[in-house]
Amino acid sequence: MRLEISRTRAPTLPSPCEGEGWGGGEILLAEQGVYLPQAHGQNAWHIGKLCLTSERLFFLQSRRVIFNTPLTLITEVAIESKRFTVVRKMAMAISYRDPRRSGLAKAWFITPSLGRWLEQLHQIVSEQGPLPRQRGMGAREQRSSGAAEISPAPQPPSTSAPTPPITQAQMERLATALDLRSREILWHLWLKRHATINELAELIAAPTHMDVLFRIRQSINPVAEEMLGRPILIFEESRFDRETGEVVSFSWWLNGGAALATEGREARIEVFNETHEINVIVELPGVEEEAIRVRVQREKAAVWLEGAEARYLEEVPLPAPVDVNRVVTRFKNGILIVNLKKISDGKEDK
Amino acid sequence: MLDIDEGNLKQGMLGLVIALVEIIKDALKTQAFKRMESGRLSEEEMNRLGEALMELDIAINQIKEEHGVAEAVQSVRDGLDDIVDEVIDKMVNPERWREELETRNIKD
Repeated sequence: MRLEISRTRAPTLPSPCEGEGWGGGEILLAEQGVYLPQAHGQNAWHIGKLCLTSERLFFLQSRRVIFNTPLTLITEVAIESKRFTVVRKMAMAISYRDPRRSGLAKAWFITPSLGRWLEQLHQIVSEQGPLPRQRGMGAREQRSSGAAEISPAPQPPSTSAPTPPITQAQMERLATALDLRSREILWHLWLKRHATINELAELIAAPTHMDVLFRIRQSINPVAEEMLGRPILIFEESRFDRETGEVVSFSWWLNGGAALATEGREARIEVFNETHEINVIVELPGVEEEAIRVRVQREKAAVWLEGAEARYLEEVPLPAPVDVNRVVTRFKNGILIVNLKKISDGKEDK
Repeated sequence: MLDIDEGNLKQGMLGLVIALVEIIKDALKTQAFKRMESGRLSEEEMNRLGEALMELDIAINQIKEEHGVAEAVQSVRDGLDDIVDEVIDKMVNPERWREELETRNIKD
């Protein structure tokens, strides 16, 4: 059975959710991920695919449905730090009513774009409205407790095209137009990418959170709107931090993020040493493919960007000599893969 | 031939082996997730990995139960965790080096 994806908003839809016994409905999201059932030990994570339809949430492992709940039975969607193999990761915790066990059950999921899932499921759960069941520490209640007493300005849903990142030059221009404390907030977010209202209040020694919010709304954002045509600081209840892979909740962010290729900011680069080849993988989010330059020498590879403002160079030594004439590069979704073939001993002898 | 008649030795050996298998399994899962993140895990690979790792989970649990080595496995893993923690703590915190030097100097 093949299903067409009906919404273009879904982040990654490599293929539809093929599986048996999930009940149908419009597919809203589908992504590879891991699933931990409640009854099992810390490390019994299952590998497979998480799917969300307009009616239910289910998880497929090897095309078999091993978790399945109607959306109407979900009572809470939360973020929890869970141990995944040897590291701790942020996981989406789903509490739901399990009719078979006649009680509340819980399941955890981790996917690469967890923020999207949280956003969508939060929305669905809150749209369901007050349900005739005990909510416990429901998603909405938790939301209000986490966001402190102050509710930030409502943000329009982020459905439009991605906002371009902010360059250092733009930051400097903005900073000169602002007072000292507003500047501090700006540069703090530039370096840290996100911060809670608490952090920002401490940073500028503000007596109350209201001071910080006032500064953002009356001073920083209006100036940015004048200069860049958009507010520079935005509040997100839950957002996926691409650099650390964490889901960050209730924080202020730089709208569009900081542009890569500025001093002090490193892109992530990894070298995978396989038997016959070496893969160099570089994360270059928000970078145009045309700007990427790759140079491979026998024992090192260099990646840099060419363009007006972005100058970024990364050079890595290679664990083995490679054939410089057989270099294959691929660039997709902000990830550059440089595939290199090792010079085998046999060939060299000839 | 290795004589594993003695309960103790068997527990120790089996515990060690299972702990190692578990660590390899963890590494595979970590790697699988990394590949998911970079979009390099094909559907077919995902299906195969999912099934294989689940079977491995079941097999490990069965062996642990049958031979009562769950505790032995845990103690091997805890021991390894402690060692790794200590090494990493020293590596990433140059302050530790200084502390160590200072305490040594005081002793001297």
